Amino acid sequence: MGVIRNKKAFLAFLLPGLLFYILAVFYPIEESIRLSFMKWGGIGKKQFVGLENYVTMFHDEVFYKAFFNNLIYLVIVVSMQLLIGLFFAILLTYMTKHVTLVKTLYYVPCIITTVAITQLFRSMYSTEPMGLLNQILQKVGLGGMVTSWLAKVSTVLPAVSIPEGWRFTGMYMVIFYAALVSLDPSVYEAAKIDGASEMQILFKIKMPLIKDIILLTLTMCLTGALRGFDIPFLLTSGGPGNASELMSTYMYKKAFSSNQYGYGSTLAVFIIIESILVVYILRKIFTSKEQKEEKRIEKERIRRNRRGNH
Amino acid sequence: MKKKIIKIIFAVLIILFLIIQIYPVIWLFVASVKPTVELSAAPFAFPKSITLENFSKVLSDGKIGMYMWNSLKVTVISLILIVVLSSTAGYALSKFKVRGTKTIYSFFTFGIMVPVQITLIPLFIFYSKLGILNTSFSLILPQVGFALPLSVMMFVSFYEFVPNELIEAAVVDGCSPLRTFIQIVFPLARNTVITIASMYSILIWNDFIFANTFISDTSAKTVAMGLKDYVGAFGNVDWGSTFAAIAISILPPLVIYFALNKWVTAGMTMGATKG
Amino acid sequence: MKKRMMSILLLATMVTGLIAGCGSTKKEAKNDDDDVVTVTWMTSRPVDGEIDQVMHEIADQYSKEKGGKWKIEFETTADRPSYLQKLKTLIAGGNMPDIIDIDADPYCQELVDAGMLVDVKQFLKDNDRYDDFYPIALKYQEFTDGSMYTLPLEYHVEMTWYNKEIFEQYNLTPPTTMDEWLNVCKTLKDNGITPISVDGVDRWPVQRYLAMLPFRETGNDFIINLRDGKEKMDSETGREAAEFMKEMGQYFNDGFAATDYATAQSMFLDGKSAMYYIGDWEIGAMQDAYEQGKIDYFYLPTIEGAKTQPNEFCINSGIGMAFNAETFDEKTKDFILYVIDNYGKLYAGKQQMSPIKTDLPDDVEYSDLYLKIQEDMQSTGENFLKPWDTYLDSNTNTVMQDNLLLLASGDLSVDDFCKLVDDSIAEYTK
Repeated sequence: MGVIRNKKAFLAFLLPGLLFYILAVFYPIEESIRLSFMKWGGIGKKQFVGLENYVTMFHDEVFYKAFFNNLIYLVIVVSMQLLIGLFFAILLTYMTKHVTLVKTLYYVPCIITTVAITQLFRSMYSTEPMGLLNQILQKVGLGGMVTSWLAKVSTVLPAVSIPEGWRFTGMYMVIFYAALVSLDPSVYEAAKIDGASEMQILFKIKMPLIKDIILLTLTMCLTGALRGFDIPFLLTSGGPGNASELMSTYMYKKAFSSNQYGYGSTLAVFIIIESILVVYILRKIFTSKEQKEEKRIEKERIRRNRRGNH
Repeated sequence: MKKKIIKIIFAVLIILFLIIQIYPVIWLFVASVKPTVELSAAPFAFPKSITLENFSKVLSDGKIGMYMWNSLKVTVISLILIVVLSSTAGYALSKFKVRGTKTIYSFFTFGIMVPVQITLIPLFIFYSKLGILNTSFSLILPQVGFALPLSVMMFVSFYEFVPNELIEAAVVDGCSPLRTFIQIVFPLARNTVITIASMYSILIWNDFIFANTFISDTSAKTVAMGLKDYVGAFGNVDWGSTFAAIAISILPPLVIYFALNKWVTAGMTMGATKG
Repeated sequence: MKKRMMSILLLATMVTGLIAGCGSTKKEAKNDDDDVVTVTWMTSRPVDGEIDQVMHEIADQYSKEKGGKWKIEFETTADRPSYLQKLKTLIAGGNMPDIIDIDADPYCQELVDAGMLVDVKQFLKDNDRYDDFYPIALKYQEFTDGSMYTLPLEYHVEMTWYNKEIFEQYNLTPPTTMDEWLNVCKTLKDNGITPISVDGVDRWPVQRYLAMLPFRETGNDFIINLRDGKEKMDSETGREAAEFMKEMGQYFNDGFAATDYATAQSMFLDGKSAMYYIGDWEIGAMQDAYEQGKIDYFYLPTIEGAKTQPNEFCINSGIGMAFNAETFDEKTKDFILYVIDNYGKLYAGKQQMSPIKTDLPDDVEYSDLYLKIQEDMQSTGENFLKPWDTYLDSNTNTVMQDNLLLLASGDLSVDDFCKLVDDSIAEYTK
């Protein structure tokens, strides 16, 4: 809670941002909700159909398929970005030379346009002409695993998730690295003297200290993954069949390829509700962690002060 | 001895990951100098012959320059708006003693997870009523609107680190809320600004879905859309030219990134750790 | 709490005010440029492709003749899916451009039913231009009821190209029947050669294979009845088509579902596949190999007791040009007539097959391949295979195309495929 009580100033600071936000985000949500009760092919009058679209949705097999695909996609993307990002951030902290250069280069994939990324991965995954991935598999004696990754029902979902995870891994790594090096060395130097191993320092001291960052990046990651659309859409547009269909690609296809704006909006509303749930859960974790963290930091400070007094 | 082995393993891993990360860029530039047929027949082989035909084809009509200018316009204006609007809104939400700030804050953060695709139809209809399709504004509005939740959140959590006493003191000295903001609070937030700017500049520069929906006029196209100019009849894509165009279009961000690199990563560090 | 509500309410009124206030500005702007007429053509043709070039030439010429009082704006989106999305959003937003590109599909029918498009057949007949076109080029643009609302700007035949060297090596001859075709494929596959390279990313090339047998058996009747709900995919003809698709699928290149156009084509040109299905619009790419005697082509093989003749196969006149009924005034009419009178010669001059009858210009040299195909086109029968995606409603089409890839790769049974298609059609015709 702040300290300034000037209400006029408050509104002056808040309103411009709020206006943009309402116009760009809330107005479309409101429209989507309205459309989700309608049947509309884009031409002529909208027809009010009540809950029909929602009933259809819960009987739609593709909807369930897309929902579970999305979960798998989410897990792959988030774990790639967080785990690999974190892992290499930690490795980097043990590097002494060329850290800046390496860090800079790691970040590069974020800059590349989606169109280029999708075409690159399409060539990498293919068998005819033999893509890079399959070439490598052959060279290391895993020739039996060679397959057309994007064309096979069983491999297509991970295959479209990986590029998305890959492209932002560097960004999260930079953030984690930044957080790790900004830690006050005195905190873990002391533990080192006490005989703690590197591993212990890493997991018992460093990780808890950057928990906040991890949660923040988790939010960013989940956001990115839930909105994830362009790579799957450009790579396979949900295919083959619906094997790599995500909620967002399905919604998009229903609205814009099938002209079912009403049903498309229903799917959109579902995504929003799903999102509210995720935000809510995350906020719960966030606040409770924050409070705990505050207490912990307080303790830390007291402990450190004591040490300083010695 | 054991330490040395671990060090070597680390180095190998780091280099391996490095290759995975920058290989695409190298591939991209190699692809852009390959003839199209060779490119699709042997995408990973070293080019048998180097051609600059792709580049001359892309550069000949000068459209790419126009597309890049459009993208630049949208990116810069959006970034300025994002920073200004989220820093002020964040300030209002964290430093004012007014009822309802918590609710408004939740209202903002709720937007984090809204998928952008839902805006396409409503905003399109809205724009066509206003007659502002094919303008930069039609892209800026959703870009800013969807960037606000996260950036407001980042500003709010940064402002938590600005002691209330500081602001109280300024207010007691007769400083208006606006001056307090401009002279005291905002300058402190430099790192948060850099973090937000570097993150969103890339996202906005590369945006495809908004541009694809709201822009149809050639003179208003952005770079990401311009890449689709090389799609031929029945879906045949001239990949050589496309990659040449991509290579040209990622040069500016790449150069800027390398030039400002120290700032960006440092800013991210601070922005991330302190906000 | 009340204050907050008030401020949000205030905002809401501001927003609606903005919407209402600005709604009227556009009309005023339109009245301003009374003396210069601007027509917008939202188009989906390759940027700087032949049609694009010719239309620009014609428009410039016409504009000059009108003393600059007339202008056409091209809004080009070459990528078809992006184009269709944009077009649909524009129309949903109540902003149809003056001239659009559209196939004579169910969506177009909906536009016609809503009275939004100009009756092009009537227009051509009124202005004595109907016989300027090749009949099949116009027939392709017709709806099943014979009405026509779109104007063709291209004219294509589709054929299977084959690698002569590979065929000779295994003593194969171009197939004339479907069974022969399957045998050719089998021989090739048994010898470790990829029989056919297919662009699965764009979906339509795969869909052509599904349409082949029904066309030989029934002409276009099957697909028309299927669309109208009078026929089922799960019928004898339908199942045969699906079985054929499944059988053919084994002979496609590995991972064809993720193979794009450029890759499929260069595989064939590179000798990595023996056959490749594409239309005459790729003459340019095929020319060299054809002249060197490396490749040749054959048209759709036939079956015993076929209803359609061997000289009847897939012909299309591309996406058509349609006109907004509301803005189709005398000036636009005049321009369109000008286009029809000048287009054929200019377009043929670019080594393209023109839908408008024209003498080939003397100053352009044509290749043997061009002339041979042109001759083929003069002697086709009166039936032609009309691509299924122009018949089916967009939802069914999406469902069919998505699942076709699975069917062809052997991941979906014929039963399931037929059911998915039938369900979707039942939903649409309900």
